[in-house]
Amino acid sequence: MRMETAERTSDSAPAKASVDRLFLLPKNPSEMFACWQWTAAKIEDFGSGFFAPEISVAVLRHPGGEPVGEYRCRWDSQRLYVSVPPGGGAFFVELRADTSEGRRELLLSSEPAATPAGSAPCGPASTSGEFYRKSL
Amino acid sequence: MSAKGSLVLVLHAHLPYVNHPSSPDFLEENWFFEGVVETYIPLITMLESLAKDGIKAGLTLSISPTLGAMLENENLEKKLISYVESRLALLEKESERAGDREPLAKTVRLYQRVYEQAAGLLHKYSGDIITPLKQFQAAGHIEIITTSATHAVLPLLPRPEALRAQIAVAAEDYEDRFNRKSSGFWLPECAYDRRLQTYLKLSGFNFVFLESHGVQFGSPSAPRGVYSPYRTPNGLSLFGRDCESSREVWSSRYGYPGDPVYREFYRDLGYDGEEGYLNPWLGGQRRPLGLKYHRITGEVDLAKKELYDPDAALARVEEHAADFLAKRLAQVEAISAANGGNRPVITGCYDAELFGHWWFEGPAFLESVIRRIRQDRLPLQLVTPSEYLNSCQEPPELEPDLSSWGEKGYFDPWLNQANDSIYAPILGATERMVEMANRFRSHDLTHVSSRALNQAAREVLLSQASDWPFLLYIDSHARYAGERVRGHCRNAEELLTQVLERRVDERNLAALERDHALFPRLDFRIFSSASEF
Repeated sequence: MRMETAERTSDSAPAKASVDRLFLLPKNPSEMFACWQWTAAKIEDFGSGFFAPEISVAVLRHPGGEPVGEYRCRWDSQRLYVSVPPGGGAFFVELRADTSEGRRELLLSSEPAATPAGSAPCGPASTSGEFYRKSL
Repeated sequence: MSAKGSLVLVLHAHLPYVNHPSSPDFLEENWFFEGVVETYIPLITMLESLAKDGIKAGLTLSISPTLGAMLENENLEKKLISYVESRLALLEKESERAGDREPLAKTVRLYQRVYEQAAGLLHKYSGDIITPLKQFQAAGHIEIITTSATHAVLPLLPRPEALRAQIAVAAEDYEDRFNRKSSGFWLPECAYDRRLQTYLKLSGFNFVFLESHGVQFGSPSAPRGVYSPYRTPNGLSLFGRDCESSREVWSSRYGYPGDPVYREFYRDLGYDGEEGYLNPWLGGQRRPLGLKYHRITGEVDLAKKELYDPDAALARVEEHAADFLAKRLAQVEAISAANGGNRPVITGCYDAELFGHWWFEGPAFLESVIRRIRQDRLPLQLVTPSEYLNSCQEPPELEPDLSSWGEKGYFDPWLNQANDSIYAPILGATERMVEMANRFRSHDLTHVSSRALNQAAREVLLSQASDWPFLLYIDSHARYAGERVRGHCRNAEELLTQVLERRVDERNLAALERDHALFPRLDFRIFSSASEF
């Protein structure tokens, strides 16, 4: 299990959502992407210091909830790439924050998302990107 | 001679929905005009030429619903005709400028033929080029399939309701456009995840195409690699993409399109010509005009490219078509020998716009390949997927792996630090659409509320297109792509709020319905969680 600190800091003010939301997407066999949105009430909670600005993002295996990684980042960073063990499977993430009273609260839990079992594409990129890339 | 193997060639035609009726000259609409003139019309002309000689092409053509909607849009049709006329006017001046200087004059005459052909075909079909495609399908020359509603990378949509909406809306759109059901479904970016099977079958689709490693890493192991179709546990047939034949045609470095005699895409009169002379066509800013007079030449600076010679390029096309087929025949022999004499199927999948738009000589290459198979009686059968599935034995079962045809084989091009900021708004708007569809699905709504909810559903679908993250990734038209995502998400959120607060802005709603005029039968309830919808 890893404990890492995300390098990314907030690059824009978080947009207000009607409901707090957390999403988890597959990126490749060893990496997933989590992103989240806060409601105005939650933004106020972070702004007022009710919640500490640093949150924890736990990566867990689905089903069973075995932890496979944990990250710390700012609440308003809004997104984070997380590593997952290769070989496939499904994972979910949980966001937690510490209150000013020292309690750790579970704020959000994502739906599980699957990762690929394989890890070796057949060769060089062979899609439209190939042609676009000539111009880069 | 009896066939030793089969060849399935799939051309996937797609453009994002770009329609700006209030602007007389909108830069990104040129993607559509260029696609029509340089790819879709040359492909139709090729099909006509083959049909005239009694040759059935046997191609599979995927037409995305967004492209289909643009091909039927009257505003874009009028602009397209103006675009062709304006290029013909420029070519007349170019003809004078070139005089008798060869090979420049020859290239100008070639472009004149291309644009005259486009004008002629648009006139013949009253601007509606879906009609000849329908006719070719009805006559059994091609099989037309569809793809997801707005070309979303489906594995990047966590909500099952969103998957169902992208797939079901595409099925309905195809039926409206082609008056029949589509058997095949092109997975945008060949992106597969196992959740899709159910929704694809529910919408009546029978087959899809996968990237090769989706098959290779499937379970149980694929006994014949990508050279046989498979079927998922619920009966969806799968064709695995063959890397070899794809790379030969696709790769600008290792493939045919990078040959030094072929036309150079990136050297364009719009950047080369004198600004004053070109001003009526540039509209105040340098931009590609589609007239390119140079050849690839080699790995040299754009300024050092040599002039294009159409005759030399066409001669090379014939060599490449012969080489492509010789390699396929050798491939068939080798695979057949390794598989105890079983006849393989080779599936080559390409973006349609490669043929003509990027690779100018592509349609001529394709025509030569098809003619050689038929006329030289090669032991290779060019078939459509439906024809193949109708004649083959029940394919073995396979549960494919999560995969795509993108760089590195998964989702990195559509999900990286250049574009990841779009996902929270897109997925947030999608969730809200699902919540609102659940809330209002059984309500007796006013006409305007229904329209607003339907338009919100349209906006959500449009925000999910794979084109926006890809353009952000390659930093091409990135500002436009970012604005499109933000705009669609904002439109959806505002419409949903207006419905909730019973204050729909009808003027704004009408403007959105005009600008984003696709999926006329779309019902917002397709986003609801109710399985009976």
